[in-house]
Amino acid sequence: MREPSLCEIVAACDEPSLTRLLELLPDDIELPRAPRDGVVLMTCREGLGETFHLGEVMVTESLVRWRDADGYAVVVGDDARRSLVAAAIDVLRAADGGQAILADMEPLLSRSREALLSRRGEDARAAASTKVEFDLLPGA
Amino acid sequence: MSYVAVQGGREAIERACESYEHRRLGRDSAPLGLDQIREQLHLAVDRVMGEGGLYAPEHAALALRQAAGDTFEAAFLLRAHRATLPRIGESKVCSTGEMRVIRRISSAFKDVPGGQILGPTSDYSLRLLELDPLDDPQARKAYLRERLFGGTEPAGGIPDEFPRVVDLLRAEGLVEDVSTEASEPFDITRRSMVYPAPRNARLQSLARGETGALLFLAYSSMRGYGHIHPTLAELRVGYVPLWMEHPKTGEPFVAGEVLATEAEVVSRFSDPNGDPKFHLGCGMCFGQNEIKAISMGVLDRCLRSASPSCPAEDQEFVLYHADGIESMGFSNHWKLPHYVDFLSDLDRLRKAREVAHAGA
Repeated sequence: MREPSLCEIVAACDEPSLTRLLELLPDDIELPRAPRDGVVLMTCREGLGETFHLGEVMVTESLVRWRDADGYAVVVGDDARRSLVAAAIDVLRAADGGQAILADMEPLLSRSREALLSRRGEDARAAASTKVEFDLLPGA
Repeated sequence: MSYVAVQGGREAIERACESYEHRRLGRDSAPLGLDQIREQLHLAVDRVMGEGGLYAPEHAALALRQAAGDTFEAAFLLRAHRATLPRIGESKVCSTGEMRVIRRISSAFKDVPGGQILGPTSDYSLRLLELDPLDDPQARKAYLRERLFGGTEPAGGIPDEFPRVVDLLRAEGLVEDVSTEASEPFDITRRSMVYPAPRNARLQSLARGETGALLFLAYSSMRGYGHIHPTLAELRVGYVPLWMEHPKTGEPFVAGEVLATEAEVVSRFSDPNGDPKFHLGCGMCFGQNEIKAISMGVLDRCLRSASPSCPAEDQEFVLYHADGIESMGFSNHWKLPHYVDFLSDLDRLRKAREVAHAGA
């Protein structure tokens, strides 16, 4: 199973975890631009190899700055808080001095990741339970 | 345009809107929660997202509620909302090869690598109305959870990625090679379509087409007003990662997942150079909408006919009439005042009758 991305993990956080993550953000984090909702044009490649635009996906984008480093995140859906937290974690990973804060965040993110993997595991398990091998009728 | 501007009636219009809302809210029933619509009417939500051209389950649920379940109106609301939002960027090219599959079947081959996964469907059961009320939904949910997730895990599980069924045919050299556009795909939301349209523009247009319109056109071909009687090489439903590029580092990252349906149909073969090969058609849309994906696959194949000879093979006919929001809008506009137009028609009819009766 594909490892969930940071954006997916933050998007999957429960409300108390999200609130705690917001509390853990450094006070001096800057927002060059407020989180904004918008759309991303989704481009896909189909079976014959042609790329085409499937449609647009609603997302929320955040850009943050901390200690001369930039953080960026896009989450699917209309959710400024989750987008902001994901961008902040992105910058904490890039900037000097972010490790201590990340260490405090880690249990919350880890729990969300496990919950997300569990849900996806259930999807896979439900799908696997419907796997079928059809037999042809005699004479068919 | 043949309707005319009118004024007045403001209070009546306000009462009409309030009457509509009052009726929609119901007399004695509990209000519909967005979570109920999103989760329990998810196929309707998927349809609205596909036809609105915007993947936004929460907003699609909101639109469905506001439209009292009218999928045309809901798709219109969603597409109108989309027009108010900035386009933040484009995704990287996403592949359904990475799809986290919940359903995948082939009616071309009994045995396919990765297996036939029936997934969440009622296709293989009797479609009878369940007249018995569900006395205890929570108990039923618990029962289903136990059935699906209790006990030991199914042996083998499912693979992370499924090979494409058409690749089996391609490996044997049995499938046509289609020349694909090397340039950026056409974007019908930014440029007017010019005919003949490139295939990628047709696919984008069909992907947000109205389900019933696509089905109607594809069905006409299947039944005989055309030549495409398909075999479903593969149908898959699942979650496709939305890949973006980090603007600072250039690294790709996944913003989230998008539920989508993809269908690949095989139909007819030709012998262009003494080397007969199957032709393919591909359909793909937001959400779980299998009828739409299959119909789109059939129409994709129809629209590549070397010598179009029926409505479903005519690009302009198909693409001009498949958009539900445009067709609904045009049909709805007949409800607007056409008083001047009709007076003119009446005048002409009366004069024609005078002439006809004078000559009698």
